[in-house]
Amino acid sequence: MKNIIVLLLFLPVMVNAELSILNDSELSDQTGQTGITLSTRIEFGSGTRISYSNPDASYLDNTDYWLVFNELSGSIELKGLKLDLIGDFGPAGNQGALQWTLPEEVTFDELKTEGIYVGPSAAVGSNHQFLMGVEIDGTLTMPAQTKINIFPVN
Amino acid sequence: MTNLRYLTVFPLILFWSGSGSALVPMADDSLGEVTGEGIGATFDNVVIYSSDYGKPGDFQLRLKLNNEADPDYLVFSELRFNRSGAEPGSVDAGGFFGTYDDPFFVGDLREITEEHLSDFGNGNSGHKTFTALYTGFPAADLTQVERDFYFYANNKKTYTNTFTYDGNPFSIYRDAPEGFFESGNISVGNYFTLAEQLAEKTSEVETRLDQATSKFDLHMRVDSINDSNRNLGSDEQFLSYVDLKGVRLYGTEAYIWAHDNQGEQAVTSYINGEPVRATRGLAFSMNTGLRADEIILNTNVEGAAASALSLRGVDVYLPLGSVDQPASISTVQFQQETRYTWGEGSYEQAKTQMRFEIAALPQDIGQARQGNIFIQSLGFGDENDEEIITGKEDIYLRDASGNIVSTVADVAHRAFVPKTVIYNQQVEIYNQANPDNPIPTIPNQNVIEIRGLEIQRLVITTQDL
Repeated sequence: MKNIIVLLLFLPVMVNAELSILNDSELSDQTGQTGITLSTRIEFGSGTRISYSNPDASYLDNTDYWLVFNELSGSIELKGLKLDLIGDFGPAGNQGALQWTLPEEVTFDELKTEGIYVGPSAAVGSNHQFLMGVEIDGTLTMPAQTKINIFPVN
Repeated sequence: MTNLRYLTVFPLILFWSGSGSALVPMADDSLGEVTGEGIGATFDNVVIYSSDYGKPGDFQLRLKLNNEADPDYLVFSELRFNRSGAEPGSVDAGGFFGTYDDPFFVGDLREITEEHLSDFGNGNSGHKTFTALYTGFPAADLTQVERDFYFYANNKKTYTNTFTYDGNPFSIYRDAPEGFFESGNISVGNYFTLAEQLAEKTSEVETRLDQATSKFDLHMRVDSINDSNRNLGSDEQFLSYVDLKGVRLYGTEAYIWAHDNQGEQAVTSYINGEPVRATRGLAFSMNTGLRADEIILNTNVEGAAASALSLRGVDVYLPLGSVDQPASISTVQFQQETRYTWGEGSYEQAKTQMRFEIAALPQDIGQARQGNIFIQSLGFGDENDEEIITGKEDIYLRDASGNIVSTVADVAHRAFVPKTVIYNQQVEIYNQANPDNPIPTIPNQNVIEIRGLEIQRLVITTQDL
């Protein structure tokens, strides 16, 4: 376990997010609820990678091997992600929940990993084996104000 | 390598569900703080849409299959997900997934115990216990219902459905009473009573599912780009449309835990001498239950009906691992045989490869968890294509007493569509025309049944081709 590096933990220091100014029409849509509206763009900086190992698994070969998502790049942009605290959730309409209203658009701009590798270290080297690369590009629309309600379950 | 790389997609998805950090076994005092609470989530108005492949702003998920200057790609696009039957991408096409009482459930810590009796040495034995992170989809508690009337009616039926030839019993239509599809009134015994009972059982499941989640439609397009078509147009790169109609999950849940042997005496396999009950590190198990009205693959870019393969009435229930057979993803050094010299003892230098594994079934457990796959009928292309039609016969529609109430002449029968399905299609037409005197449908048969799927041990290791 001690050898595991989870670069996701360091993601916040590797990405950029910017606040945008609301125009008049967008401003008039705001209702003063107990929530926030986020428009954000997340960009992966050069050299970003995620590495995973399962060193506790017992095999004849005692070397720790890694699964590496190498050279992440590109960006994700969300426009109008809303977050509210509501109190009228549940069958009786009296339960609290955290309500996410998903953005109408999620835009992927050449979000990709150069390659997914397996090898004997967290960083890709000559002994790493290429498995596949993944690239995501384009826009997904969610036109129906999709809502996710999150709440504690006893 | 290409196919193997496709295979890696699935464990990679599983990996993401369990990634973030490895789990560690909990100490007794920590275990005492486990509360059985978790986080629930419901999803309302779920619609996802992306425009046609090649249009501005289209959405593409591209898998790069090799690391060369001109790589091969598998491209997924036209992702559309909405309530079944609704107009894709419209504002009123939303479906729901989970409710306050039956939500998508995550974050619960549950104690799981092996049935396998471990030998800890010095005469000590016991059952190993782990603390697992539980994730459950809506209706996770549902299990698969029997979808074969023949099995359901076994030892219950009061009618005969066999005839004797050369001293041996036979049945042309093993579910229905003998002579049911021929002319003349017959005794149907409790055929329709049993049929109604089974229909009620399956209906109860559907009603419960209706309360937990909408039925959804999923559409996507798949293209393949390689040396043979790299410089050609998108029509030449097209592989298939994939459409799932009326699909939803049931009985779907997953456990993730930190597996170790807790001091169990090592037992090695006769296969490569690998440990049979070894520490697996980050382990998981999951059940997947899927119901779909229809799954369609269409290999014509214009969507021509003649190029469609459809699976109708699909019910898949597949356990993948268990507390006694933890599933795990690891990377290993693997020395593969040189291609085209198999059996000659020629091996390549060992390379690092990825391995997905479901551990061997302990001998004292005896039987792994079982899954079943039912597919009611298959459709090949245009149903009016003469090559699909296997023949034409009269259909004798019967009331609940077995008496013929109407005869439909020259009904087309099709390959891989059971007679029972053809019969029920005519019942539906009859009942629409006679709403005051409806006649009963009969239990549908399945053209594909895979029963008792059981994994004793599974190891998938990527290789180079």
